[in-house]
Amino acid sequence: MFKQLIELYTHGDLDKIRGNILHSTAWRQHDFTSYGNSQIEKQWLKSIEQFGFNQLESSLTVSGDNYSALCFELSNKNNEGHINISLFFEHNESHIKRVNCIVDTISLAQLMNVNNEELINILPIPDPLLVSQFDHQLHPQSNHAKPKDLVSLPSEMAAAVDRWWNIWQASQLAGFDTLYEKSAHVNIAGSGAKNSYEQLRNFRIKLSNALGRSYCQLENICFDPTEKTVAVSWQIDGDYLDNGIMKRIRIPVMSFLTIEDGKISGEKFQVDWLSLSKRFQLQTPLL
Amino acid sequence: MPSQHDKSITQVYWKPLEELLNPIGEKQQQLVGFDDEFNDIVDYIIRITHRIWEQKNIGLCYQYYSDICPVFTLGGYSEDVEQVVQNTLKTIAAFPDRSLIGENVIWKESNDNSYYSSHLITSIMTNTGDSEFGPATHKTGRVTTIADCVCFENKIIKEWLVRDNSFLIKQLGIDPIDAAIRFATVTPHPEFSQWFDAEYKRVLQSQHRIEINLNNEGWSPTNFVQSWVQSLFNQKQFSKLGDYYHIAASHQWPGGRQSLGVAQISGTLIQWLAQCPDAKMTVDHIAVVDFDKDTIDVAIRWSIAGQYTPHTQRLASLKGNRFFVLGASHLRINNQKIIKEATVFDEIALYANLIRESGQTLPLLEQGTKHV
Repeated sequence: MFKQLIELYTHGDLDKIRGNILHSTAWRQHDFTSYGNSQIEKQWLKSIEQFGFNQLESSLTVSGDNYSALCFELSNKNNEGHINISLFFEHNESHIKRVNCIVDTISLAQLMNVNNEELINILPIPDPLLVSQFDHQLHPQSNHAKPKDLVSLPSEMAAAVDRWWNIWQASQLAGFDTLYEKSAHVNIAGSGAKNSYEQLRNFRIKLSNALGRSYCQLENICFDPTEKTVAVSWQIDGDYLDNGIMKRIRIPVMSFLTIEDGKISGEKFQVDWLSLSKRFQLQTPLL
Repeated sequence: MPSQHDKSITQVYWKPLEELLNPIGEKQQQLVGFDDEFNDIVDYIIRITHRIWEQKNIGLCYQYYSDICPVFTLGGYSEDVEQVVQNTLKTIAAFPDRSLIGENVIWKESNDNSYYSSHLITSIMTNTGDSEFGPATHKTGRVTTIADCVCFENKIIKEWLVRDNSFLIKQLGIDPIDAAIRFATVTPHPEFSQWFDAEYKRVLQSQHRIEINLNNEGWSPTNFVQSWVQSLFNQKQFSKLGDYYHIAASHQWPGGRQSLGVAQISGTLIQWLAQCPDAKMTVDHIAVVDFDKDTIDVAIRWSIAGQYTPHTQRLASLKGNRFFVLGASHLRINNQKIIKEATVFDEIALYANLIRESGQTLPLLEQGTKHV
């Protein structure tokens, strides 16, 4: 299915992927869920219009049993514009049931040569969301999802993913130095194509300080032992003081990790920042 | 006779629509008195729903509903097939492109040859006509519905219908309380008040302090559901959430309440129940079917009653009024823990009933009420 999904965006090949879509398939993109062929095809055509017919620069696949994930980068002909598109999907080899698609919309705005506000205006209106207030603290006797609760990973991968999650769930910043290869290729949505793990660490610190009462929750994990790749779908909840108004926000995230010899050699941190701004009507960008 | 756990019964989740509408294979259930074309109760529900709603053959209600067919919703009551036809026509007129995507059918067979079905539906629809919520908005929205039906001899003879109207209303750009104020002006069927009174009294009498322990060794879906209701909703023991939910469970509640994992679920339940702190909940029906080797699907119809404690200043004058919810939940349970929940009820009707019963006329937002 990876090929069909990529060719949808590189060649506009709707026919190939159409056969994998059910009447009851749900496709969430820009925090809006399209249901069934008619709405999903409308979403595809809108994306193709916005992305343009660009070339595939790179792709990272995570082929799991019931869930798989794909992150690919497109670049325009002059190689001046890049965009990362990430998909995490439930499937049964022949059909796709649910898709969570995250587009790096800040890169998309640059690719489209529009400013962020202009792109926000034309993004779909997000699904209604009521974010509940809850106790975010990691009390000694309360339970909070860890990677092993969702997936059984090979031991070397499991240790690395646990330590990675500890960075986010428990703010264990020292993990960056010991877990990442010095030359690890990192991509943070909205921050350009190539970042270092030090930049990711700075981003993590800034994010922690921008959000009060933050809480990280795992949604799903899939892994591919042959490719040594892991895809994690997760969320960050937190209080954000937006232009004097306190808002409880939720940030959907997708992380793609490449793990070699127990260390992270590559990571893509995917967030649709502009849809987040639209959903919570943010007056000031989070970061 | 095939049981609720028989794998040969139609499984909706992964089936393309073409296969659902053109089933092959042999009849899997006796279906006494049903048309021969139907292989099982899931096939019956999926195909008649498609014919009536997607193909707009509203008149088929005469074929598939009994002449007397009580339909219970939190927003009203209808008693016979004529009202079913009229209500269906009105909905299609207001939302002409309404699609009904069957997500799941959980069912139960009874000894009297009747079948209970609980149909989880996602609809996409554009509001091009005036509806009970207000003038046409020309916006497209999505809504989740659960239709619980008793089916006997090819007809639906009783139905409980719940729809997540607050989620729909928000997509249409209508303020939910405005929608409830407008809806409160609709006079319900006389039978509705009798049903509402009787149900409210019945649910209040539930014995909420009795312990219903989760029996892990002799685990059964019925004990699990009864214990889930008693521990969480009646006794508000939220530290027990992990006994019932997988640690990364997904939880969909009305109005766009989406939660992942026990911490978020805890927040959703506490905040919702705070508007009815003395809530009593009853389990009114349970059906269980297999999903896969380790996973079952459970459909629950339930009711909640208590006294309203307003969560918004706009409804402050309704404090102490009768708070009653008819709800339905579909739970997917893997290894004795809920991994996915879709709970549906009509919040707009809930508030409309509170407003109507108070006899008050509340102002709409455009009439100068501050949005709270």
